[in-house]
Amino acid sequence: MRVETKRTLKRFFRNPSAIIGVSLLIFFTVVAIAAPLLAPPLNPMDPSRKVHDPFTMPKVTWKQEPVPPTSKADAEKAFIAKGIAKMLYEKEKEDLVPLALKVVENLSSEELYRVYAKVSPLKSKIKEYLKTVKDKLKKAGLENPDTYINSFMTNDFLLACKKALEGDENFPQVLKSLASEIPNLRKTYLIKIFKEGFPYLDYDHAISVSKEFLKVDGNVIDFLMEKGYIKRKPIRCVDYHIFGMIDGRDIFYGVVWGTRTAFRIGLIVTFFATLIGLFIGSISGYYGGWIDEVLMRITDVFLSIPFLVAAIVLTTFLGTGLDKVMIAMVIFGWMGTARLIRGNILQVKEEQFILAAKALGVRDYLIIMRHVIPNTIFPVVIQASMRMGSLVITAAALSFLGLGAPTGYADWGSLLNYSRNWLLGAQGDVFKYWFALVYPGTAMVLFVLAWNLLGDALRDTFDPRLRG
Amino acid sequence: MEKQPILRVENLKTYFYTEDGVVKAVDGVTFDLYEGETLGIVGESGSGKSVTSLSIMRLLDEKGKIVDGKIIFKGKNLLELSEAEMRKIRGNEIAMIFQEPMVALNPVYTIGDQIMEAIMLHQNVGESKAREIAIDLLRKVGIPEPEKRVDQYPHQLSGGMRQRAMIAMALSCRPSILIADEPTTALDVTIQAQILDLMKELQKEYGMALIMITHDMGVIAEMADRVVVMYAGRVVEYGEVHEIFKKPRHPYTYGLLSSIPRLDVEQEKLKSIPGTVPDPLSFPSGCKFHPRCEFAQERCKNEEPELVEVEPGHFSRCFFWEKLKELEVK
Ligand SMILES: Nc1ncnc2c1ncn2[C@@H]1O[C@H](COP(=O)(O)OP(=O)(O)OP(=O)(O)O)[C@@H](O)[C@H]1O
Ligand SMILES: [Mg+2]
Repeated sequence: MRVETKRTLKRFFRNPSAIIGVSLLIFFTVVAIAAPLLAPPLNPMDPSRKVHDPFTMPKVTWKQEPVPPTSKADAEKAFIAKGIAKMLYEKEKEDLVPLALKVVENLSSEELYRVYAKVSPLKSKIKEYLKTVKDKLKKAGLENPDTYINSFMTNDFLLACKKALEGDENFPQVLKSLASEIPNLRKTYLIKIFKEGFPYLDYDHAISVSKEFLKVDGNVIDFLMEKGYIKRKPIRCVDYHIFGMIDGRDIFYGVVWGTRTAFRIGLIVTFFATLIGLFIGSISGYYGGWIDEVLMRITDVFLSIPFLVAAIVLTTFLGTGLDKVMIAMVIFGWMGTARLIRGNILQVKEEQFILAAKALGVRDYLIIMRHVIPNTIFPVVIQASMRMGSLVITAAALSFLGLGAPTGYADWGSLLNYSRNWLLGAQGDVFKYWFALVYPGTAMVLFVLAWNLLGDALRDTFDPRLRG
Repeated sequence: MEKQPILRVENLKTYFYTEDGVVKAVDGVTFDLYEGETLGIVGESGSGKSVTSLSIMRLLDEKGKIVDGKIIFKGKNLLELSEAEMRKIRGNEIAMIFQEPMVALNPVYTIGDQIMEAIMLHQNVGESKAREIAIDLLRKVGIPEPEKRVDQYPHQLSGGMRQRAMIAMALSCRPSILIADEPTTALDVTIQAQILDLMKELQKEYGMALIMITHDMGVIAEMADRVVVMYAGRVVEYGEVHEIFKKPRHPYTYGLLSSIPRLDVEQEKLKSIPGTVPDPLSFPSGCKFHPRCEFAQERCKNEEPELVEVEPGHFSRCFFWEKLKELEVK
């Protein structure tokens, strides 16, 4: 590496804003690259299926829970289970535990085990527990403990234990300990089991079914379910969705994939807008005269159109959508660069080395490429890097107006747009839905900050006018 | 022997059309340049020396127009060439070096890059060959450790070194004419002398004609074979350097000469030409020098003198050049 390059890099990385900015950008880049690992684009209703477009945030609809209960007993089970699950989902209510226990007792042991086994963090605990039970049963002289263990959570199990242990002198103690231990275990893990085993039950369905089969009083149903309410409201559920949910969508998923969207908007728009600006600005500045006059007046016209109005008008032609918004941002985003580069070129054009190059017979376009641009490009690069961040904000503003990303697109702006309705929190708890705003908001702020810091650092390091 | 001039500038008129009016920066300049000789162009600031050289190269900015005249180079009128043909002349046939070595090199490229650019532009050679040539050139212009310097940036070089690099760049294609626009003005005296020596040496070696633009009569005395003295866009005197120094036939030249300090003659005080160069937008009527001329008469105010041959090969634009002759006798 050249000494000069080394020195420049050293100067760059001595700058605290460069360090912060670059680290943040590395972080965002890693998140963007690792998005499929961090937030797998899987159908939450059926994790074995992939969603076809990862940028459309998978939505939990509560409509797809299969197999409607056919018997009254099933319906009752489903109703209670789902109702409880929903309640637990929102708040860990202790007083619901007895009700939950009832459900557990009503589920077959196989069903229960499936639920338990699905919950990976619990698996080992359950296995451990099973082992102790097994040991105890063996100690008690039971011949074939596995058959009993399969139904360990039911009354059958207790009966089986009782039968098997009859005649044993230790029986009363064993039975006692088992009987006291099982409900304890249930209590502790019940909440988790429901959250993780039944995260998306179809409450609407449950209502209709329960009404039909159970003839339950409407008030009870309302108390349990509040129809249509769960769909949009932000839900905080740290175990299953670490950033919570909003509008049936996982905020963490949106923030992670939104990083890709942010980079895409920033890079593409900045690239094309800068290219156009560079082209128009350098022609204008280098050739001067009437070409300059015409191009600069065109630039003025574009500058005089308010961006939001222009974007609205343009999207009525092109239709809404993120790509259309990006087109609008390119069309109305090149003027700053054009003016900047023109000004710089006007300045550099007067430099003697340009005249010296001309006196050597260098062609115009080579002079622009080799002598003018390298001496004028840094302010443009710096401006572009500052712009990267703010473009994300502009895109968010357009999403907010309903012009940008479609509903459910993995985009920070869209996420913030959802949380708009919940900004004031719930009655008596202003900060109830803070997570809906804070996570995507923080991501956006850090992203903008990172690019601005990088731009600052680049300017401090590279701008020839600031170079000592 | 009657030599053909390699470059002949004939009645060149270059005007700048500015918002304030027309600046007649060069107004009817005529001179010849012969192969291998050094022609000095001298005159105060603003007299049109740089504009003359830029006109020859056709490198004026968009406001500047060559409104009349011919520039005949090797039989071709440069003013009639297309831009592409002109580009082949620039650097290849006529090269130029500038006053400010500090700013005449591009700060973002190494010295080598810039010399190589010129070489590869006009000669059909690859990069490694061009680099070799560049190193040779740097050695030739007296830059120590050229292998190392070739990879350095302009800001790592001293002023004299940069001017040497500029000369190397200008000579890279062995031009037949080198125009040096005040090549040493920005340098200090000892380095000035070194650069001038270097240029003389290289001129001899390459056999090229040199146009030396300066406002320093000392440089003219040292370098030039013949001299063009310019004032307010016009040639006021033109001739052999010895003639001009010994027998100036224009009061302006006389003034320039008497403002040089001399050691051989006792001087009480250095003379200077009173007044300043006139505003190019409103030149005085008649002889443009008359407001500052100690010999000015009524006639000078109304009538502009022609360039007359006062002696073979020696021209002056003054009605009263004979008066100077008398002065000299005295
Ligand atoms: N680009 C331009 N636009 C307008 N006027 C110009 C331009 N270039 C030169 N001039 C005018 O032309 C006249 C001659 O300028 P020129 O640069 O040739 O002077 P010079 O003899 O080289 O002086 P110096 O010794 O200071 O270099 C000046 O009056 C100047 O104002
Ligand atoms: Mg000049």
